[in-house]
Amino acid sequence: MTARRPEGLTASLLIGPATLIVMLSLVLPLAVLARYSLNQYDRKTFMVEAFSPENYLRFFTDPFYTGVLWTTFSIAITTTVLCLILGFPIAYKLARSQSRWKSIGVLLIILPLFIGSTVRALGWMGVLGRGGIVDAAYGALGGEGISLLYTSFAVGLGILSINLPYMILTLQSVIEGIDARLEEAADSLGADAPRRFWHVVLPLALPGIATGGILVFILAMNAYATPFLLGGARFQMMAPMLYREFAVNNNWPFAAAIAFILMLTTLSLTAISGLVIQRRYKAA
Amino acid sequence: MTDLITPNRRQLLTLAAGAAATPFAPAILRAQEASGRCVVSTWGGDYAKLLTQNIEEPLLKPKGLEIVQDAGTEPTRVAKSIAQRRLPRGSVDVICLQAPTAHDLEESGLLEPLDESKVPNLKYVQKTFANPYSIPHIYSPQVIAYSPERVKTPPKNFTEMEAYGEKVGILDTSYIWVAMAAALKGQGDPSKFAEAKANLEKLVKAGAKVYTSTEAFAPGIKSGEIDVGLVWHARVLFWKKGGVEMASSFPEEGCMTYVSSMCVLKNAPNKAAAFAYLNAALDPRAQRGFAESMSYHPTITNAALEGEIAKSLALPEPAPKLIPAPYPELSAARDELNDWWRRLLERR
Repeated sequence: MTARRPEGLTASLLIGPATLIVMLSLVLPLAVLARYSLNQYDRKTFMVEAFSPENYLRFFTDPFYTGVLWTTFSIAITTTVLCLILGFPIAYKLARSQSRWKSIGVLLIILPLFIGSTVRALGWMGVLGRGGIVDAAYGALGGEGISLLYTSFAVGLGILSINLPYMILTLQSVIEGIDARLEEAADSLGADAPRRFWHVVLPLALPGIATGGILVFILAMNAYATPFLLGGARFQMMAPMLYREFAVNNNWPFAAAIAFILMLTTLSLTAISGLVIQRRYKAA
Repeated sequence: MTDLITPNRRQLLTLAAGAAATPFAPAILRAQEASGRCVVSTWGGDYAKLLTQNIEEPLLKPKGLEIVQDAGTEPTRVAKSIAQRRLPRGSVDVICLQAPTAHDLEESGLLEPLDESKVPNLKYVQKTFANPYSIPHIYSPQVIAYSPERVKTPPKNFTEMEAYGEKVGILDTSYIWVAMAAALKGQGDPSKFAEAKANLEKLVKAGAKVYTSTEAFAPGIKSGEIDVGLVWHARVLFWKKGGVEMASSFPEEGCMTYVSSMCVLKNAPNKAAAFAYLNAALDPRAQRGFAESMSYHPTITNAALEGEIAKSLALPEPAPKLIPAPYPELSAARDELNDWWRRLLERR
């Protein structure tokens, strides 16, 4: 006991400053935001001190706002599943590769992360918009003008392209940790490729899938620049709506409530998926 | 000792001059007070740069005024001013706002009243734009922008423009100005917002393109995605300069007019400098500078334009009626209209 006490003290001293910084820079502003979300908005005085749940009620009782939340959720879940389906083979190939080109492959995955999401969204605008690459190619094939911009397809594609590298990199590091000899053992015991994947690789890669999935899901739920630029005025997602309420309408109380709803939805969905996967992992 | 109390001729003359100047003391004092630092809350980008080029550097710096720009989006700057309203001394002297927002701040009791004793150049301001709480800095009429390539007979009024249906472009941030233009044509009164809703619903249902950024309008015209749309004349001239084929048609029912205002906050720390700033903004040299570089019209009567810029900014004959927004009615209806517009777009 006596030997352990200084250790505990050292540990507290080590995590103390970090905890303090987190408390001051994250928890305190969140507490202020929570307080704001209970205030009322007034055009002339900007924010009236109150203690009312009306901003939350306004959100949940109005199909317009719940619809936006649902759109955000469906885009996030679709892009996460697509990231997983498209990312897994690439990550597996990279992880198992012995080639000298492997590092170049990894670099190619990382490279898009060097460009901000706004710039990439602008790039997509050039591809999908009227007079863009797709439109020109379609026109050359004899079709009439086509614009894919300002559709849910454009937003999904934009978010997918931004999030895919995160999924691949997470999966790759996890798959690299799975002993290749386990797959060889499955092979030698007569398992064909799909069986080997379902019964050996997939269960062992589940923690990576969970981490990558959660990361990508959170990013998609909170996407701002991509839905704003590729979705246009007619496509609503939570983050651009939050920004508009906060910075355009100056309605801080309602914006704070939207922020909390978005944060709590993301957190609870993440926690639920984490629990489910953990249980499956244990079962596997 | 005797030297000190015995006045010589020079001292007597100085005293006499001082006594003679007493009635003008407030004016002299004001001129002297306009010194030190003046904080200007403004949009960033070109507007801020042109404030420096046309007002601050040539007109105020020589007078010893130090200008600091506090650049940001309008709602953020407004939020800051409202948050500071209880402080006896705020951090901003002059605030640049769109005229409807200036009206909102005036209604909230945040603005210092203005008159010619504080801002002498106010006497040259065109009467259409004058008000007791802000100076109109620049203005631009809302026109029907069209592609001369594809639109052979330019629309003469809102109804003719509306007929272009899915080929109409609307700026998301200016939808309210489109509603006012529709109300002006349909009801003869831009404040009849409720009646104009049907026009916008018709346009949105027809598939009119709604752009979230002003800059997206020009590529829309260029690529053929849209043929017509309501925008500021200054914008059309700016895009034309940039090589986009575009022309303006002035609606015969009159042009809703964008006005950019400047105001002094009641708790401005250096009011004398703020008044000097507003006065300089209404100086013909500064007004011509903004017309030449940004294609916005001068708001004063004594800044006649010459040459190429006079030609491009010339209004057609007979001159269209310039109509500023009905600010009080707009202020009262704005929140409800914003909500309605979001839902309309979502319904598709």
